Amino acid sequence: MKSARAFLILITAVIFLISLQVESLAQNQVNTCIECHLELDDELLDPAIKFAEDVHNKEGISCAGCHGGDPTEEDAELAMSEKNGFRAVPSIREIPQFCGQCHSDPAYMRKYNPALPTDQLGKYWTSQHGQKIKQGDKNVAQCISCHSVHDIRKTSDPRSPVYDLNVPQTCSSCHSDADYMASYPIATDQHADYQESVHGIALLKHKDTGAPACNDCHGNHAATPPGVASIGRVCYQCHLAEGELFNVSPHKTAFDDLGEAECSSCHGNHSIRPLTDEQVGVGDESLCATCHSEDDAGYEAAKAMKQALVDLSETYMEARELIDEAERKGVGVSDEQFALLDVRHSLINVRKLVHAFNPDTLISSAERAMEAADEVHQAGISAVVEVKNRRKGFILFTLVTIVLMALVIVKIKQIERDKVK
Amino acid sequence: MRGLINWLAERYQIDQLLSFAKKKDVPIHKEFVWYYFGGIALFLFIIQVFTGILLLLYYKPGADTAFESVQFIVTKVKYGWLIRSIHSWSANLMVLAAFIHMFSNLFARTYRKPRELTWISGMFLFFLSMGFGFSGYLLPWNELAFFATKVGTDIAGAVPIIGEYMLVFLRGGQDVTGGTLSRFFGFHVAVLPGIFTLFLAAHLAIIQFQGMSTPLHLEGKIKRKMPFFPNFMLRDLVVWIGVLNVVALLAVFFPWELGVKADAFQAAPAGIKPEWYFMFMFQTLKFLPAEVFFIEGELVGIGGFSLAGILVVLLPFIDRKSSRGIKHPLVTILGVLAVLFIIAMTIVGYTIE
Repeated sequence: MKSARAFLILITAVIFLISLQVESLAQNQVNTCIECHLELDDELLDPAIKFAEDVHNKEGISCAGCHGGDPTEEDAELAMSEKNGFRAVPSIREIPQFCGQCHSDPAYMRKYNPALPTDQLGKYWTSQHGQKIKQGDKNVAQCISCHSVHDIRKTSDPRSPVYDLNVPQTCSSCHSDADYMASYPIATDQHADYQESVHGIALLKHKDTGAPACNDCHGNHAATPPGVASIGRVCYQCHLAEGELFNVSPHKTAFDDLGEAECSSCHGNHSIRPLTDEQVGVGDESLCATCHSEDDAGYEAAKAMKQALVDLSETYMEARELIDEAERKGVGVSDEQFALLDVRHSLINVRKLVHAFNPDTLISSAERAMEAADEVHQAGISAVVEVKNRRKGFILFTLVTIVLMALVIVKIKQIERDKVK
Repeated sequence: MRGLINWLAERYQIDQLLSFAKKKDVPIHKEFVWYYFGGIALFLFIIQVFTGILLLLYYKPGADTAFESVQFIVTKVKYGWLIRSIHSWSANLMVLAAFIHMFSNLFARTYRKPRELTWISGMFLFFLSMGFGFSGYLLPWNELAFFATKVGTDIAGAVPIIGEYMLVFLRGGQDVTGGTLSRFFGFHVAVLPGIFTLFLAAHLAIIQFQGMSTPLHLEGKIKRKMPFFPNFMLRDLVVWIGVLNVVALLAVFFPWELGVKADAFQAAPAGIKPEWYFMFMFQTLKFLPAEVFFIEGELVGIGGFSLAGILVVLLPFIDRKSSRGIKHPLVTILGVLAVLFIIAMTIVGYTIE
């Protein structure tokens, strides 16, 4: 009986030790790729260091996930043998397909991120980059040119080169390099222009990720210039109202007939500057006067629209100054500020109406807005008058208090004089 | 007037009342000016009561109505802007006058026997004034007040053992909500005025019984006195009219801002500051390291200020030498250091980001 108990204890101890061993084996399961590469130098060491931060590594996809081979094999030759499915560094031409083998497979990608599109490779082949690479051009961008390699991060990660705020810099690393781009017939000043544009300032200076970067107009994997026919559609993605107005305007057919690009013919492309009312009308900064001259109807229409805009805008600005002044001086003008906001929205809408190129529509809208603007302007004047009245009231009150104080002092003197007597 | 007094005198013993009122004298000496500050604080309190009642006609407590009602008062109600602005300015000047009144009495050692209770009741009035300020600050329900109340009640919550209960009691829950506003309104217009009036009545009655004090170092050197009624009262009146003019000047040229409505879901805006009279404590707590001798820095600060407060209240019983006519230099030194500390920390609080 005693021996049976001793046997039982022995068996339990053995099972316990074996389970510990198995667990430690599992914990110590090594990635020999990383282990060896950490012993190497330069470009062979680099991937081993960078891979710790890579999104694939974080999702549990090891080196072998892309390169094949056997990461548990300690012998380097065996680990990287063809027998074990090892695929060495792909050539530049092979890279799109190399990444695409997983990224174009919806069933596979669903396991990791069901929301991630799987059409990148198909789009890429339609892009300028994809078409050139097919022709054997090794200088054009492929996946790792933009996404980096071995330290690939999610596009939502601000450290990713394709994070919204980093896209212009990433594109410009090739497209602004005049030497690199010498063999291609395209300009290299897009990034410089973009930085100064309304879009560039909004994105790069104000960090407004809603503002468009290169890829929002050109596409990313399918990157290509929009071309004359489709440029309007690119802008209308965000500037919907302007697009709808333009499409029913007389300019639509005129531009189509002349083969002129919508939007960019007047506003430019990479260097779109903040808009001013001066760009309407026939003055020095006018965009209309680029095509229209004194003897055509468009010239007169431009002049009339400009006048309506300037009148409304000036009334709005004056009202704003008055109301701000009254507010600074302590008059409560919350209602007036709300009314002012309405006028501002009307002004923006009237400015949008320029794209209908119909002076009658614009002027009648401007007149309606002007009624509200006049009311706010009047309220602004009243508020400033209120400031003056308050101050006058204070001066009057001060005079009264001085007289009162003097009377009391006289009374004190009188009481004290009487007492002495 | 005389007829009315006679009519009353035939029915009630008002001659006793009049002689009681007439019995108070005011010593005349070179430091006479400090006598005015208690009166100034009292006058500003009266302004607070009047303007407060007028604001009550339109103010609606509640997270959805408080800000809007104050906005209505300052934009739509006739002279509402003036009343609200006077209430805010007068509140701040009242605390300032109370500070000056307190320190001038501290340096003059007027808390010495037999005026211990005058001092203690005065100190309670001072703390209640701060309570008025803290509770009133939240009532317009604007962003700065909302977050400052959050920070202020957080500090109360850091007190060991009772902190959590104090926090929940002050906030009416775990967070600053409309419920907090309701109870702050209750404190501000009912609880505090009731208690304040009792202490104020006691404070004034004691002074009337005992007469005006004389600074310790001028004891025995007073050659002349003036009757409080009417001589000093009329002088007070001149000062009060002047103070009213200053309040009006501030209200007209620097109307108290309303700011933007509080939004609990917004991130706290930069530069949240408590009312200026809490600034020196707030700034000290910010400067304290995370730990002082293994005790949480904030607790050391709260403990330090509480202890200082208790010591100041009990000063008449601690500084016994003053009752024997001896001016202890330590009181002057600590008093000057406290004034310098309060001024320096307040300036630092407003200048350092």
